[in-house]
Amino acid sequence: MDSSGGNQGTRPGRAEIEVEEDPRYVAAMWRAERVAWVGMALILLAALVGLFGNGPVSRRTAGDPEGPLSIAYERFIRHDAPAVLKIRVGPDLADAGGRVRLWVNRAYLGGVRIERITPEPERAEAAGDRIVFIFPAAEPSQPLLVRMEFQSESIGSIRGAAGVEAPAAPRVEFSQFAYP
Amino acid sequence: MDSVLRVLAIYAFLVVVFRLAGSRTLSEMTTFDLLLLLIISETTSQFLVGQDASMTNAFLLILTFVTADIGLSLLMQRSRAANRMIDGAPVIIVDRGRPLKDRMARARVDEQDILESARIAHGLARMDQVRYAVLERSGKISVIPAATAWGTGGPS
Repeated sequence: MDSSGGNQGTRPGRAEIEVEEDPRYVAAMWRAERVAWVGMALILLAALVGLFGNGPVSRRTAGDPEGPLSIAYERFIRHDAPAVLKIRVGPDLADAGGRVRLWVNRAYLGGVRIERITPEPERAEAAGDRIVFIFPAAEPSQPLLVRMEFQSESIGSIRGAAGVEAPAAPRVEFSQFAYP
Repeated sequence: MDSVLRVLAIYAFLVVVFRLAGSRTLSEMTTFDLLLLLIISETTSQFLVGQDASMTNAFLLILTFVTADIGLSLLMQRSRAANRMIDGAPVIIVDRGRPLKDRMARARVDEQDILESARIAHGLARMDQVRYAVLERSGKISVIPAATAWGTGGPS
């Protein structure tokens, strides 16, 4: 009854119903679907764990949290999405005038857009390859906690460095990856 | 530039994801599918518009979408492989009254779905009144009833 060669016994009603089937394609598609579902599940798992930002795998700290300078940051961030740098400057790092001079390198600042800095620095100075933020230190014997909210304007790897302009000159480096 | 790129990226992504989700995912407008549609549209629009609510951006986004759609349909017209890849192929799931269980399982269609289509399209009551059922490319199930026009002009 069937007019096409090959596996007739299993080929459904070809003579009666004109349907343009393609069993090989369909079988391949169904296999591909299953594979894709596994892939999707893996991506979601990776996201849950923080591989795309906002999760345990993504939280890093550069520097010693008890030391003169440390920054808590997200290893993975996303383009045009809010992100935060939490900077802790250890006690007794203020200069003679009771001010903490915290610098961040220009290359990093060029690739991000700072939305807000809490507490507000008194002013910012440009000094070579870095920008220095000057904070009044109300209690020099207490650590200074600075929160920088920003959004990444670039995509890919970005490297940052920050430090304090003080005799001890502590400095940390960190790198982030910005997803598009 | 990035408006056009965003649209193309989202378009390609949606085509691929829906293809891989299987045609049953968006075929019938059940409550879940409606919800899916709403959420996808919200998310997409958020990403596409971003901070730029200008008229120029809106025009560019819409133009890119329409052009991408035209491009895709031309591609599907020229290339049978592309057409197959993007649109899929129909699958016979009931053959001469006999449900093809393994195909139904792979396509995530059960007998209830077929019976529902049979009721809606032809007012059929039972599976033995169904001669053929085809899972179309769109994800809908079409039903050819037994008896009726059968025997008028068709091959034996």
